Amino acid sequence: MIRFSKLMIVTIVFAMVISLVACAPVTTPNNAPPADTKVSTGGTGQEQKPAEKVKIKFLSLSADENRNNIRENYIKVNVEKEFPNVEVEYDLGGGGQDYANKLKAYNASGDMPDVWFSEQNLSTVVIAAGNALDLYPYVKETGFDQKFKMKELVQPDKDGKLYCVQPGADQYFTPRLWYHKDIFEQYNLEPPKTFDELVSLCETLKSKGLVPMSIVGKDGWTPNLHMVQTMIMAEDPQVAIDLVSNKTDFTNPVVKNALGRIQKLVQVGAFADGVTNIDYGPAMEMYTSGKAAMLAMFTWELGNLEKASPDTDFVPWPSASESVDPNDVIQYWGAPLSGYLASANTKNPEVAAKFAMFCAIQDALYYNIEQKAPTMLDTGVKIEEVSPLLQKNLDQFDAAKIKVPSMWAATFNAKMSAEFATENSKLLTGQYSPDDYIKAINPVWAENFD
Amino acid sequence: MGKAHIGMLTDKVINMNKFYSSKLAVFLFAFPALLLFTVFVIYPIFPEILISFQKNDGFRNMGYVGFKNYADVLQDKTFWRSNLNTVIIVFLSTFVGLPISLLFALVMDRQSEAMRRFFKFSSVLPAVLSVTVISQMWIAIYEPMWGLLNSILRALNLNNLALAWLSDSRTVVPSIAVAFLWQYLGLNALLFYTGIKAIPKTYYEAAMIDGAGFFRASLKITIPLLQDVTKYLLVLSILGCMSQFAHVRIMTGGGPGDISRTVVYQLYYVAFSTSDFGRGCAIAIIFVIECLLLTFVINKFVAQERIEF
Repeated sequence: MIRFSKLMIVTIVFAMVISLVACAPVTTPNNAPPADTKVSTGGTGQEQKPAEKVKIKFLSLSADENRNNIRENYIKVNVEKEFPNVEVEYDLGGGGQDYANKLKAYNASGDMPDVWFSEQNLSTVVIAAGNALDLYPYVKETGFDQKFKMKELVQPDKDGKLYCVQPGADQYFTPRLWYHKDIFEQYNLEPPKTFDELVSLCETLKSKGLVPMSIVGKDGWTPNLHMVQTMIMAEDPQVAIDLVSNKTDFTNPVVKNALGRIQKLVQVGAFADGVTNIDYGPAMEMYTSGKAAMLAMFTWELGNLEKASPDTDFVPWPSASESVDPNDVIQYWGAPLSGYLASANTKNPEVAAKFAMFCAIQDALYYNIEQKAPTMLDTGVKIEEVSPLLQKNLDQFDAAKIKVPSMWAATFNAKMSAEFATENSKLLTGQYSPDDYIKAINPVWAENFD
Repeated sequence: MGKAHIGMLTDKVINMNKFYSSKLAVFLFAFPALLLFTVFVIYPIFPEILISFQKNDGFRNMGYVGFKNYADVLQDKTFWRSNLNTVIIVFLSTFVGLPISLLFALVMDRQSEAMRRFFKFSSVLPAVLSVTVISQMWIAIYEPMWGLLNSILRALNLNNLALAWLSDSRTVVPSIAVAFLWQYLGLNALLFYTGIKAIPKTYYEAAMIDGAGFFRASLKITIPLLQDVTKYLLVLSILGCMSQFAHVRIMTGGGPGDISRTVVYQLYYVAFSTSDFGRGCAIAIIFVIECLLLTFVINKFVAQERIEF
């Protein structure tokens, strides 16, 4: 019996040692590419024939139409021409929290894809873990940095490293209140200029049997990405600026009023029943099918909205204070670490870095060509035949006196993003008070800048 | 066949029996399963215990914090809510679901062969379908504006009962429990049915002679003799419900807010969404203790005496 027990113990110990070895993080030297992996220099067309194709893995968002179009119609189509010696494995990561968790799982294992797309809050997690490659030498070497109108977008971080390359399309994205002109004409309604007008408009539309405003409620998406900040800016844009730069917190009365305004919208029935469970696709469909009269969404959907609902128009978000002119303030998306990153542990750092820059260019090309939208990265494409709606958007964007970066895109860390999403989802039930919200979120906010 | 040959065969059988009853044979047969169990179940517990005492973001240990993670978890209202949600799902699936499954099994036993075949097929179908399919189907059923449930309620003029089932804090957890319960209702019924089939027919014949009907025979013979199956299903159902995650993830994402999170979902949220692996591991360890306690209670109090028949 004793011998048998010993045998069992030895087996268990052996299995554990094997597990320990198998579960150890992968560490590969990142600055020694194999001798036979020379590739194109990122678009110059001067490539040398390698002995065998270099394989890289690319993780991308796959839950929204823009990201899918960029990957399928631009990256996949042009990659063979630009990188004939590279074989790309496409890893489709879904969207939202699923994508975030997939990337975090990769990050935890240290076995990252060679190149991936991520937003600021996820990028910071990967960089903190030492899993992101410094792209600065490659950016300088290829002259990629010379293609930017806004040089800040390709400047190294405080540590002298540049971890992310981006198309610079985000800086033009801003949340708008879209509406169906046909529905408004049918019921003789005017687009709202103030928050009170918005509330009474929602009540009227609700009484007509329509969903007044379609939003993405799952995981509190719309309030997360812009509505909380929009409602703050509607009363006092300076408070939003102070929040972004950590000069105030959520106990600020303007923040409380902003949360109260969202609660008010829920309570008057501005959003669809069961809004907390409505995802991106169904929210868009609710608007484009005409079930909803208005839509709270960013301008990255402008092209798609024009195609799906030609009667679409927009207004800047209504103000909640007489001192704020809705045309004067604008919130812009985009953050220094929102774009394409490469793995510090990749076997082919040069290929990965150049592929990341290539992806950023394809991303910009998509917006220039398909959406006729400008980007900070100059692709050489001259944007012509701009639609009246896009021109209106660009004119209003340029004319706005106060431009505030997005809190979600530029400021929040992973924990703040997660807790903010939880609180916003609760807020959308209409039964959660701004006081409870502030009590829960403020301690998390206090740790955000640690 | 000669006597010597028979003798040889007998010796072989004896030797084989000796081998099969030896500890080495037990070890050899158990080894593959033991190895997998050790690698995937036993081994991960140790680093998990270690991490539960650290401030850890999943990538690096930022220092040992003693029992702080455990204290934080135990003071967290969401953790206790997730426990309550888990209990609600366990209760509905076990104490409502299992009796319904038993009833199905009893009814199935009384049907014609063709009907039984149909019952068996429709019993297994939901269990073999993917959780995603099942969850999406129930999302469509619960959809507030055009979903099947609310359409029926409105057709019956019960507009007040047509709720946003997955967004209302009062209904979201029971709604998820119903979806989970439904998926395994048939499979559990089939297991009960297999148990019923193993009961000798003579018992029922004797009961019939004594004038017992379906209800009485079920109550006095079938149910008591199904105690082993019941215990097995009880453990399976309770532990299955305790680790409920996929349905919640797909149907509500734990929302609205944190209202429908189960313990395992809360663990996932804390570890992966907020990158607090220290606290996540503390939840995992507390959860393991909860599961062990429950299993102990079931083993201690349910069907202790074995009935031979």
